[in-house]
Amino acid sequence: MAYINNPYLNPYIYGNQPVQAQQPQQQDGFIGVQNEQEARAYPVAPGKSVTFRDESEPYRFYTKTMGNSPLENPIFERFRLVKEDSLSNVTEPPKTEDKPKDLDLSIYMLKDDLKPVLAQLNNVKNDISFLKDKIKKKVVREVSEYDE
Amino acid sequence: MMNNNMIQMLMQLKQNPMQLLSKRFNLPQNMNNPQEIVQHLLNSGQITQQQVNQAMQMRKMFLK
Repeated sequence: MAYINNPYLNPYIYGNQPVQAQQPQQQDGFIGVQNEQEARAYPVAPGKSVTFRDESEPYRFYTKTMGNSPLENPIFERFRLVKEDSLSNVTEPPKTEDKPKDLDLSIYMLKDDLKPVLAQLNNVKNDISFLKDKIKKKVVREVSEYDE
Repeated sequence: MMNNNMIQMLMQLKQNPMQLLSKRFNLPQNMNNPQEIVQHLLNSGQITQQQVNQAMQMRKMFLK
């Protein structure tokens, strides 16, 4: 009786499912990776091939194949999944990586347009230093007059 | 006798775990990188690719 009513001993009480050991899940035979570097660094046994699915980039897959000798370099291949609408039409997934990002050119000036602006800036600088000199001289003169 | 050996092993493990593990799995000296160790175990046939895949999966779940 005690066994039946004790939830710690009888996991079926109150409709609880018994606790099962959690098995690591193998997802369709593909190993999920965050990026290509992770796939390249993944350990693979000699003579075996492992397929990876890039979780950060859809439609992107990699395979890493080790030769029979551990001294051989592994063969690493990159794939992209392509959807076929019908037998004749092949719809390629949108290319996200190869497209260069559009630059906002409104913040830039052409070099030729910049030249007159630079010339004006130089003029202003010259005027400022001229005025500075003038003020300095005036101050020096007034101080010396005051001393007299 | 058996207990003494066990105690010795435990002490060794506590002091220098890598030395004991290197001995047990025939790892080359100065092999510290976990990735290198796993690759070596694969190359020597001490573990299988499936075991590695499962271990990596579990590690990923654990780190989440």
